[in-house]
Amino acid sequence: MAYSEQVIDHYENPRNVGKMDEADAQVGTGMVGAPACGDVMRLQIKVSEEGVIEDAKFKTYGCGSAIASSSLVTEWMKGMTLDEAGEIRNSSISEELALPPVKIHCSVLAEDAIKAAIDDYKSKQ
Amino acid sequence: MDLTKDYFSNLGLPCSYQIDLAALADSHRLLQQTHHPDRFAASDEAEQRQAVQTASYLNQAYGVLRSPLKRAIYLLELQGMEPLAPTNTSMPMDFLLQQMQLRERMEELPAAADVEAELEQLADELLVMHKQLQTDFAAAYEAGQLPAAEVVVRKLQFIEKLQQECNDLEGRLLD
Repeated sequence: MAYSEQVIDHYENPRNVGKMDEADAQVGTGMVGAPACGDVMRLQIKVSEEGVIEDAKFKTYGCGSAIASSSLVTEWMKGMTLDEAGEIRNSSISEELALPPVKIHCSVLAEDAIKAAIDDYKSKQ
Repeated sequence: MDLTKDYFSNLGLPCSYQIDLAALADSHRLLQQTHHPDRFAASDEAEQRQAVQTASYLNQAYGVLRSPLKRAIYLLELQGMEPLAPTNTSMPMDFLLQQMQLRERMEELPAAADVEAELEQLADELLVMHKQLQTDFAAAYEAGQLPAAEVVVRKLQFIEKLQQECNDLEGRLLD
């Protein structure tokens, strides 16, 4: 299956790979897994006092589409408020990356990781 | 043979997770002989087609029932469940943490001092987890705790994926 240029770009030059301190009250961590393909994704956000996402990091073990989906959303989320980030939908991700139907679940994984990270941050406040 | 019936009844096994694998192999072999398309070479077209369909069904059934993961998925599918639906991404947090750690370990493994020993250790640990999950599935399924059984199936899928990647890594590193 051919990957789109956007997927290859994010796969070869993933943005914001890394890890933040999970114990930090300013950090929200979302972890999700896709049993169908065995992919695991960790997405972390650092939120300012004003409720703006200052930084985002991810680590994904999975296929190119899963890596690209998480890389893309870390770029998008920086500078967003929590509410704005919570409105990111998998359809926008799959559209941006031109994901084929069999890879849509990778964008679902990224959307769920965002929600999980936001929930984790909120539960700490 | 009624091919619309489930694999267990057609292969003469109880509809259960813990099955006798030797009995399964015997039953499969016997039925394959009885229904082998070669035996129907002189029969009419409909009978020949039926024999081919039966042979294919039997291979499919055997493949599913002898695999601990596929058998578990199949049992839940018989209950109308879809344990590996791609839309379900919620897994227990401790399990996901462990998955991340195992994958990080695998990622760093090629740089280890004794790669072969590390690989073997990891493969052994995965095997232990796989066996434990089979036990967990049997317990949950027999107790009728289907949602719990479904979570175990998903975990098994992750472990099998890791085992596969571990094998691939071994092939790349040790050949």
